[in-house]
Amino acid sequence: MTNTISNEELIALCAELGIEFNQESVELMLEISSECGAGDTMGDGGNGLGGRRY
Amino acid sequence: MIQIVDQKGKLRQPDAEDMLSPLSDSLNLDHVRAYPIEKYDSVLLIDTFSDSIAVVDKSTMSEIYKKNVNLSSSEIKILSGLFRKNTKKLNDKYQASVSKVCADSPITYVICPTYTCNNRCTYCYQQHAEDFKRRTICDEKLNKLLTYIEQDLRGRRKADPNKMAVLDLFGGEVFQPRMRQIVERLFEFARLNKMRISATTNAVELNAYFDLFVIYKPYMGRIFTSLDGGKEYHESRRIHVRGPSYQKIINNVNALLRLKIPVTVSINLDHKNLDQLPLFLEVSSQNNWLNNKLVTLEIGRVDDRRFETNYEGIMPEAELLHHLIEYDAQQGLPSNIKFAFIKSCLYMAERFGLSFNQKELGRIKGHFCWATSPADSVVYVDPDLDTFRCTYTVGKKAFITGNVDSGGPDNSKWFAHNMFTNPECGECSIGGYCSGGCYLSFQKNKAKQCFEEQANVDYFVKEVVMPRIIQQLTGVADDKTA
Repeated sequence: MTNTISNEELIALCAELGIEFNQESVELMLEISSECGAGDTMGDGGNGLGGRRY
Repeated sequence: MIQIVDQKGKLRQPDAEDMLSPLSDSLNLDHVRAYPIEKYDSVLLIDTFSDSIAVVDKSTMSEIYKKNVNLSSSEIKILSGLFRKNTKKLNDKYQASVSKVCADSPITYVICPTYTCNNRCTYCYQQHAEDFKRRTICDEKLNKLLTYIEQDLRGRRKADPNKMAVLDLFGGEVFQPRMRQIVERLFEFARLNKMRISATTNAVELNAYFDLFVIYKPYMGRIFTSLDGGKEYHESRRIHVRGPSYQKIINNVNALLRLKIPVTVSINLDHKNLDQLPLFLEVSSQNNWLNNKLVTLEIGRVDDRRFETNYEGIMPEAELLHHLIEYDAQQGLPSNIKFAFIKSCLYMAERFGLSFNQKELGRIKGHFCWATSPADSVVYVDPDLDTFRCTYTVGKKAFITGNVDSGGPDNSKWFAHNMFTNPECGECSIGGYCSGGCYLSFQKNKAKQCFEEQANVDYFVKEVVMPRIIQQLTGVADDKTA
């Protein structure tokens, strides 16, 4: 799936970008992952939802 | 002789299905736009209401104008099927489109939690308004706003519990470090209400929010940002309060992509920055954004919908489209390019495969844009809880459609702007394509707008459609000669 990222990739990326999480954030992240499936992003199905211009 | 232009822009002979219309005594072509094709003694006819296009020879045309005296019954049936104006049929089709698009479209709440911005763009249409106040939403109003959205969404999801909803962040600029608490709250609100998050941002200080993007990644829809071209040009117009910004934007876009969050990067073009398009594509290439499924490269048009800037660099829609079609033919545009400016020329461009992925969510035939279409459930809400309908009007208090405190927006005036309710549009030969044009331009200077939209359609037919038709007629003539 295009929008999926593995936990290993995510940890490495966070380290590279200097992103740190406290315990509360980690718990929230785990909770959200369990709701939606780890690593996935809903995305917009290629529809460009939001960002109206024209 | 009648030749029909099919949905792929190809000429074909009429067949049995084209003769299903009942015989009629008269055929009125007053609402049809006609363009002579001198070399082939023919006329290109475009019915913008039925979206029918055909090439008819001049002798047949003269019979039509003589009240069909010598036309055969099959010719009358074909011409009636193509060009008879049937208001009831148009209306039925329109209502079906409204229902279908409504069912398929998400509900979108566009929140402007602040009108403050960390950029001082030279051409910003929002920040330069005289009565503009750069405020940020207070806690009390944010509470009211979120309660309103929650209740509104709950009501709408009664009929369709899985209805997609989007929380779209707009501004000002949302992703400034000082907005952290509000953004955290909005992201969590989106999660609790199963909404997708999208945002329009200048992306300069987006890195201050990377942790939130990681945490809420499953709810992310798409991030929209823009580059005006190359570094030097971009930074000369999009002036960031803390200095150079170009590389920061690129780094932030690339970080989002590594998180697998879809991003749209757009450029707005006019006469004066057309030379920036190759630089925009070059930087896209350097960063592997070309043909990247997570990236949409969007092209917009600098416009002046209220006829107030009188900026001399503005390119008419058809002229810009023609330029880009030629550019594509010579240089090639990537597969993930998306045009976001085609209005009156859209249906012709789509027919000839020249709309370059334009997909204006919510727009249906009979309306110029999504903002006047009742099929698109979108509301903009600002820090005062005032509501707006059109992106261009956000922050301009003269265009408020309501307030969250007093029941939300009333869009009825916007929705009433279409080809059915404007009598002159119903009689105009481009009415089916223009459909009243931009509601803002219509209110400011209707005559100027009508002139410009007719010029757009005529330019596109002359420069893009006609050469493609003549090329095919030449092919037919050559075949006959052979």
